[in-house]
Amino acid sequence: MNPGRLFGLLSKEFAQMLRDPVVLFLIVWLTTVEIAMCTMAVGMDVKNLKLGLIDHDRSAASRALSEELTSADSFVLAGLFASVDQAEAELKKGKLAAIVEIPPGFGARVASGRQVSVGVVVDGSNADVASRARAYIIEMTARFSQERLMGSMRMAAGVQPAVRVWYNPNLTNTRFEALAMLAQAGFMLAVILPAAGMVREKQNGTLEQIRVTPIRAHELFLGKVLPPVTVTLGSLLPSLLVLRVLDVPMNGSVMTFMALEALFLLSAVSIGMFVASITDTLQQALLTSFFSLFPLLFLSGSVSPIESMPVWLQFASQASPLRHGIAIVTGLFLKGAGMGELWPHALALALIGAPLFTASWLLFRRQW
Amino acid sequence: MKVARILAFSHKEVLEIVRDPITVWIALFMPLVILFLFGYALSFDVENAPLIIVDHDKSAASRALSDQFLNTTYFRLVGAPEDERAAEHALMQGKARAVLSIPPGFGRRLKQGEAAPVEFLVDGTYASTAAIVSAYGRAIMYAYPSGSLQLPVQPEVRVWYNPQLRSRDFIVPGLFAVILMAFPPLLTALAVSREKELGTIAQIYASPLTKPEFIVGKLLPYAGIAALQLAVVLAAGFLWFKVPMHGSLALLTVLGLVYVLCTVSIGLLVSTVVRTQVAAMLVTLIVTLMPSFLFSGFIYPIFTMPPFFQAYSAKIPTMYFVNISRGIVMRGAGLAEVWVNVAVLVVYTAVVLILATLLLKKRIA
Repeated sequence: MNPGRLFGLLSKEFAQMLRDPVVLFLIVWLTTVEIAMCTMAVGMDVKNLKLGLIDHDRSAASRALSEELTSADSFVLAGLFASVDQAEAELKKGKLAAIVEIPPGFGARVASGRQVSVGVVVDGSNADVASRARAYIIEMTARFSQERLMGSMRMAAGVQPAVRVWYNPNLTNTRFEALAMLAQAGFMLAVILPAAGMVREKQNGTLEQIRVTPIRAHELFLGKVLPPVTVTLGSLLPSLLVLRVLDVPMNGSVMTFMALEALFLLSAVSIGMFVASITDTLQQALLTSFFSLFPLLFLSGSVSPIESMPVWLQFASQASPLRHGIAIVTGLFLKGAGMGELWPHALALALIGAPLFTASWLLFRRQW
Repeated sequence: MKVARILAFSHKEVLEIVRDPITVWIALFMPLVILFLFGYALSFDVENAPLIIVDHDKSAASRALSDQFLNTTYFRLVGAPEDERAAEHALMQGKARAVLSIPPGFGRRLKQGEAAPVEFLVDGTYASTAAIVSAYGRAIMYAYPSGSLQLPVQPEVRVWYNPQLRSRDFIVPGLFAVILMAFPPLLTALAVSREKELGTIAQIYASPLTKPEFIVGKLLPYAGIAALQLAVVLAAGFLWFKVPMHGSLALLTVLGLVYVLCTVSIGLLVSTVVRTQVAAMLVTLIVTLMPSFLFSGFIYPIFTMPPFFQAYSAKIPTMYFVNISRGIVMRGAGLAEVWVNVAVLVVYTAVVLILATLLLKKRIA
């Protein structure tokens, strides 16, 4: 390895990147405006869901249940309806998130200690909201039942759950969404940029010119890996400001962030380099990158939680660098985790990146 | 506009596409992969959330409470350390989503009829999971005296439109719209920028081909591929996922063609504006791919967004086809119900194509 040659190569790569202002602008747009927009659009509160109530009983017990349902900030009473049909019409229009129907004789059955069913309809068109609404209703009716049971057993009190939520006490989507977007933006750039940079030389035939210079294969390889990592890492600095504006706390160390982020981007670059080594034209390289990006993006848990996926996909998700990248940024920013907690993810990133780099290096050697 | 010239130009484009088999395979395979991933794995409901139980009491009562957590499908035990320190470490590592901590004296307090506090610590990183885990955790603790979740008051929950909260019947029709916005423009965006980057556009400049002929000639082959993509996702949706069709498949197919023509035109517009393929790809990412997931009402309903984003969503065609597709597939809607959406798509396409023609610079490079 000749440092002078490597330096010359790197300055050529950087010059090439900096002379494309459109692409630079798009990179910065992706890591700032796009992060802010997506976060603000989907990060709204899933609180005060609108509840429609049909009370066929009109007893003290049914009123107590409806008070129970709206006692926390999960639901607000959006309307009392005479019939299910009326309430369902509102649900269809998207004006209600859930409907609770209290049957006639509810109070009498509760008083006599018999079981009684309460009808609940949840609008499933937003799976996130629907899952929460269902869980809240199950919780509130359980609490209502406990109070009644305690009463009938003449006991003062039972189990008192004290629930504390760490890292994101208000349970808004904002923080996670912002961090997931940060990781996604870096990931996409770190796959696409090196793939394009390498294949362009192949397609334009400029690889031939490099081959006749004293530059060695490994020097060119490094020269293609380092600039996209540096540029992407640099473009994430303004993102840190955006995160601050979005009120995402930074509880970990910035140094650890930069180190782990570099490792994360390297494993993403390994995908890009592998794509470049199996394709010949820029069109193929870009499409293949996207083809690999999407499943990896989906498996990262940024679209829907990994735990809610089928078990075999949960295993498959371990192979997505983005999954580990998101675990690292959420760990650092929200949980204040350090290397002591995050090393398994760092190890996973190294284990994903190393074989891909090796494979792309071997393939590249054969083409050199 | 001469039809013969357009056809000749389209023919050249088709040859170029067909002779690059990787591109064709990816174009057809990519929508399928996404359809399958989302169709099988998009869910927000919580099952088997990893739970740590720290039992300081070790009484019959505390064991009964632990069992009650583990007898549900909501939680699975991943550890039972002696102290909170280890539990909190696991929470930080993301190995557990919640920690149930039962203090000493829990059993005794319950027996004496006193309030028996129990601590339940939840990782709030994934807000939706955390909200559901907290609610289920509370519900189980409230249900403790009856020994099961069979409490006197039983909520009988029905989830509309999406009964298992992951129902393909609901997700797949929305996915048609998302996928056909996300992928056809990718290919088209490279159509003109590739010629610019490789310099072959100079040959076009030198030819008698006019601007409208160029646009239409470029559009046709990619619209053809997009039509194939439409066929692939519709076939997978109705034959593999067996989504029940309440409306007319013919209508959905025709309107689907209108829609892909629209999305392909957007790709073409991007391609005429930018100079390089990488830039084309990044712009498509920003103007079609991301918005099709976030601003289409597919996962996140538009009416709950702030007004600015509602206005933004209205500028993106995906929303209109989500309405069309869900309307036809799930509610059996006809043209009479969805025509407004169709009209928007038609006007949208026309505007985009005119813009593309105007912005295409035909000059000596």
